[in-house]
Amino acid sequence: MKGFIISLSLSLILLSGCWSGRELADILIGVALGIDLVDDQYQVTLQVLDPAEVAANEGTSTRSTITNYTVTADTLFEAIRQLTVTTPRKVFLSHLRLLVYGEELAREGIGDTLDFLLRDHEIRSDFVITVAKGLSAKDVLGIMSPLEKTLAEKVYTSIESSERNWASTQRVELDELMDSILSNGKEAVLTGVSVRGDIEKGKEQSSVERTSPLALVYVDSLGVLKHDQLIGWLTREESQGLNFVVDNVQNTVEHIDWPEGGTITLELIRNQTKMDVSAKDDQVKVKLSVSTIANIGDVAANVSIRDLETLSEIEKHLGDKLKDLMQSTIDVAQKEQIDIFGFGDQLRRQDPKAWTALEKNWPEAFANAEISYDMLIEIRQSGMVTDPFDREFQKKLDEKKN
Amino acid sequence: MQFRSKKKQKAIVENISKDHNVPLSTDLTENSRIISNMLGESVDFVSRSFMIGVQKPVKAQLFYIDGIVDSVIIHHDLLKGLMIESREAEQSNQIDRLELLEKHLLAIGMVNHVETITDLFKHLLSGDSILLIDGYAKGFSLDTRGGENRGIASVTTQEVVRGPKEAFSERINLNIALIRRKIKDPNLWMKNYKIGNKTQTDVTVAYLNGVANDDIVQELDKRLKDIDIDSILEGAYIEELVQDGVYTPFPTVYNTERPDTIAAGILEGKIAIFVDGTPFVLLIPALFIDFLQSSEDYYQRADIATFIRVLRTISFFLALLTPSLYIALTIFHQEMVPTTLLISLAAQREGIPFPAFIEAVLMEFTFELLREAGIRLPSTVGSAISIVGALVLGQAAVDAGIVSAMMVIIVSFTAISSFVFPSYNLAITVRMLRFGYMLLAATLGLYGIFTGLIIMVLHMVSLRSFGVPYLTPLGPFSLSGQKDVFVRAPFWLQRTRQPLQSQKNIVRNQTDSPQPPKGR
Repeated sequence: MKGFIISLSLSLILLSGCWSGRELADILIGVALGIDLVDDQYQVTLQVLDPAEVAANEGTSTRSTITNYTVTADTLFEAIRQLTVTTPRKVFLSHLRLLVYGEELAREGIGDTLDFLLRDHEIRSDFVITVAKGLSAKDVLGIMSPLEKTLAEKVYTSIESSERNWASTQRVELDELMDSILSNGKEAVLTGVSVRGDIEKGKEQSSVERTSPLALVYVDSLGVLKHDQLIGWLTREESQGLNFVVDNVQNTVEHIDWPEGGTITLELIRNQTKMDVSAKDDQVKVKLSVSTIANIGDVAANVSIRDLETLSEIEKHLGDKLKDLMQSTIDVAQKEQIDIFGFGDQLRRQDPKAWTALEKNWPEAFANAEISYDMLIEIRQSGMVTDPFDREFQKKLDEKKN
Repeated sequence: MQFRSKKKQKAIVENISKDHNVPLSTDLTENSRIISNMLGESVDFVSRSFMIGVQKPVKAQLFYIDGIVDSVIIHHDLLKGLMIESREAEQSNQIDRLELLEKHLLAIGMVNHVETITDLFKHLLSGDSILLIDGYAKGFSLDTRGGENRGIASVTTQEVVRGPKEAFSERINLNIALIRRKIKDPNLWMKNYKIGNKTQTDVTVAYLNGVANDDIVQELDKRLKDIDIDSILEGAYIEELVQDGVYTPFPTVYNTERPDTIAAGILEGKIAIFVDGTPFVLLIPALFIDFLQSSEDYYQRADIATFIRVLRTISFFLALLTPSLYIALTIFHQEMVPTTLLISLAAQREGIPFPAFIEAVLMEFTFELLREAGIRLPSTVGSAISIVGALVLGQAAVDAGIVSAMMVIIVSFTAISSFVFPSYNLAITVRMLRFGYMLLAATLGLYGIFTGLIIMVLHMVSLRSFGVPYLTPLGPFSLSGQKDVFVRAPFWLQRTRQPLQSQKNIVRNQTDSPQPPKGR
């Protein structure tokens, strides 16, 4: 009996072989996927990288670090399998970092592509999803990028750093997108990717050999989706306003115009927005409590920041500025009747009964919502100098006059 | 037939000893002839005939084995006394010559009477000298044990930075003395056994009476008495014959050449087994954690010792699993590797002709070969191995495109981790199990590795060392026992001995934590 069990467990190990094992040399690491709509078919562009080129310490070969393969098929899954006719090995999608939808497809609706991305066991859900602004995904993925070795990595890190330091983009991943599309109380936004420069020349290696590449990829605005269809783009300021409302600001820079001339630029080092949504007799009330801690970054005005009164005035101005920023975004959204802020979701959490009553007519209810603000701004540090350079300079001028 | 039945073998041995169990004859010449014949007239056998006394001279003969006796004692204390000083002793009114000899002439500490041939040989071959007098059917065995020995050298296998440097040597009485010197307590009891039908090896069991578990002492006594083998040449013979579990890669008997480790073990309630002819002393019961601890843990500050223990515990898993994790991650779970690392790994793997598993086995095997060769080689050529090893395992193999650079790092890392263990026999276990885990990783991936780990833990939990669960105090969990496992608590916190090993008299320390003087 003992021998039987031993031989059984041994054969389990020895006879199974490397079941479903793949050697590293047999897989092709896909880092970016672009999906376009061409003649009612999916045109899929896959960006794979050449590990030897990416990891090479000395640039000996002139091969590109990335290669794009494009195929067209009726369904997404078919298209990805069809790639094997041109790729040397089987595509491995676990390390996918970027998904780009062509604007045309995004306007038609991206819903049909999502099932495969969720269902496939190989794809993780931590890649960023973007929309190519005004061009096809294929064109975006073709651009050579300086510094980062793959475009996917460049867009990924750009979105991350601009979200963290500029608050103009949102890193949207698959599960979040699905939630937004399925929810009645929130609409989805996706970061837009655009190309400035000569697209055709930007696809050549020579582009990145220059100090100013011939084409550069920007991530600078948010696209708004209604259900699963792209309906328009927010400007940079509106995107920032959106991030302030949904408490997605970690660090950003804002300037205020000083009434007596000049500007003061502040670095917002900490920001927290609390959303309070309530409903009474079909009238939705939204209260946004913003508390911000800012440092003075640049004073190009004749003010003394040693003065506490001046400081509180700066705080008030900054509060107004942020309020305007948020209000302008909310105005646009209310006009279009698209709740990109998730006020509906918040109402559902706070007052489920009111939400059930309002759910069917939520776009209208949202459009008529009353917004109020409660700003709490605190200026903490003034940097390495106290009195601004401008003020010292003015003093000197005055002395000369006298 | 080479394999005789146990019964038959025993019968043969008994026959021989029965034949020898004949009493001595009164005739000295006859006795001398029998002894000489039985030793096959071996060259190292010395027999010296002389006369005792002048007035009434009597024939006497001294027998000893050259080389295992202290010749200074024989020449100066024995022969001089018997041949010269006996003349004066004759004057006294003693009637019985034997009594006269024993009381007045034999200036030797330990004197025994021998009456049978078996008895005689037992003493003669242990280094005693035998004195036979004509006309008497009995003689004396005189303790003249001695001869050359290595002396007390410094430790070679379990080095410490701080702590005693002396090590055990091959002579059992010296080894016992080293422990006696450390534990000056009448309760340090020692019991002697002669094991090995041919070698008659001295085996001494030492324990602290009243602290050691009596059941374990009795169990060991029984197991030692049950041993029926013709030779015991090293402690490992005893270890294999008395251990609990036979089919296990894990050592269940601890061995060390450090007297301080043995003394500490005895004081904890363990039992030491000294075997003549080896500098390694055994300690039972041995727990898994004993093999991850070094005596230096107690000679360094408690916090530093704790840090080092945690380091060792991590290194146990690293030495066991690093190559198999590499195999599992690169063959089955590429999605778990960070992208940048995966790219770098993929770049290195390109152009490598072997699958990752073969590559890993190849390199680990090469390393084991080098290590084994390094041990066996004479130290004069030993340095050649390190040069070859550095070239084969290092740059050349990578440059030739046979293995990837990452694999070399993995192998070196594993090797370094396995050198951290303070005990060599656990290191061998880990070396061996590593290959099993590599096979599991190559066939079943991480799932295989974790199945293997579960099986290993189940096996370890089922192990016993003289009835004490192997994973104590982790297996049967004991909170107070945790003070000396991964954490080495300061001495003033360790007030009791480890449970299970010692059941009575468990308080060992009542010192309070040191305080600064009051009023400052």
